[in-house]
Amino acid sequence: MVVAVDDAYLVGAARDGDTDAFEELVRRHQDLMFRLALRMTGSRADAEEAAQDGFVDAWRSLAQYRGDASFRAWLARIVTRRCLDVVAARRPTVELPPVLEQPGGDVGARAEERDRLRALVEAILALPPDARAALVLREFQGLSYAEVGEALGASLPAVKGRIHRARLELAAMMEGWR
Amino acid sequence: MSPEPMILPCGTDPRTLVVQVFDGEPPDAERHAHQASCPHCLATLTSLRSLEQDVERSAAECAAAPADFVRRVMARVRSADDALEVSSERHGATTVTEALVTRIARLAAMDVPHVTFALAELGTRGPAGLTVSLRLVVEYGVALHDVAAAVRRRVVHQVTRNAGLPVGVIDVLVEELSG
Repeated sequence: MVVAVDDAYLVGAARDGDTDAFEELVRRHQDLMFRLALRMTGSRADAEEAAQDGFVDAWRSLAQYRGDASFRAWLARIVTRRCLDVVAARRPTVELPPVLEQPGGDVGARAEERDRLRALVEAILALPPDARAALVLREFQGLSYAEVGEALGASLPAVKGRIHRARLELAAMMEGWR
Repeated sequence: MSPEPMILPCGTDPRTLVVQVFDGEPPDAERHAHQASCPHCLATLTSLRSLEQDVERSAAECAAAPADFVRRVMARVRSADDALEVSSERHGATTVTEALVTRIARLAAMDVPHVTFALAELGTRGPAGLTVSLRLVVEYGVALHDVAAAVRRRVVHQVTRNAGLPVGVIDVLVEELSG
C-alpha cells in the first residue's frame, strides 16, 4: 500500500468494500487506538478486545462516516464507546497496574518519575468512566474540546466542565507525589 | 459525575486556574495581582502546573498494539460472518460479501435519474430476503416518491440479478436535496 495516500482516500475505497484499504487504516491507527483503550480500561487484554471491536464496528459503520470529523477522531469515538461498555460490564476486580513502556533513556535515574507517572495512570483509572473518557480523549488523543463533546454526546460547556473537574481531581490525587 | 469543585477560601473558582494552566488563557490584571499574593491560588496553580507536566510526560509513553493486532482485526473484517450464501449445491457453495452487495445496491441507486448521491447499508436477512437501507441525495424539484419508487425497482433488479440474492425490504431515506 502506498504511504502517500491520505486517510480520506482510503476511507472512500474502504467504504466501497476494499478491505485492503481498510487494513492500511487499521495499521495506521492501531497504536493510538490501543493506547486509548489501555488508558480507558487499564488492562492489556480488555484494551485489545475493545480496540479490535472498535475497528470492526468502524468497518461495519463506514457508510455513516461523513468526513466532517477527522477519521482518527471518529475512530476514537467508536473505540471509546467500546471501552465504556467494557468498563461498565466489568465486575470490580483488583487490576494489575497497567504498564506503558517508557521511551529509551536513563532508566535508573528515572525510577522516581516512572513511579509518579504510574500513579498518574492509576489516578486516571480511578476517575468516573465519563470523566476519564473526556480527559483521555483531550489529553492523550489530542482531540479538541468540541471533538470530545461530539464523541461523548455532550455539549461543549458540559465537556469542558467535566475535563476541568477531572484535572482538579487528578491534581489533588497527585498531591502526595510532590 | 464528580461533585462541583470547592471554591477556594479566597473566593476563586479553581476552574479558572485550570483554564489558565491547561488552555493558556492568561488571567486579567486584577486576578494576576490577586494570585501573586494569594497562598490558595498559588498552591493550586503549582499543583496544576506539575500535573500538566506529568500528563505531557505520560503522553510520551509509547505502548504499541500487540504484534498480530492488524491480522486479528482483518480476519474478523474478512470473516464469513459477512459472507452471504447465494447458492449451495453439490459442487460447492457460492458466497458474496456484504460489502459487495452494498456496493451493487449503492451503484444501482445512483443509476436512477435525479439521484445525485446514494449510500447503502444491509440489514438483517429475513425470510423474504435482504433488507437494504438507502440514503439518498435527490435533485431539488422532482417528486420524491417517484424517485424512491424507481430506486426500489432498480435496486431489487440489480441485486437480484448481479448478486443472485432476493431483496425483501428496501428502506429509502431522502436525506438531502441538491441544486
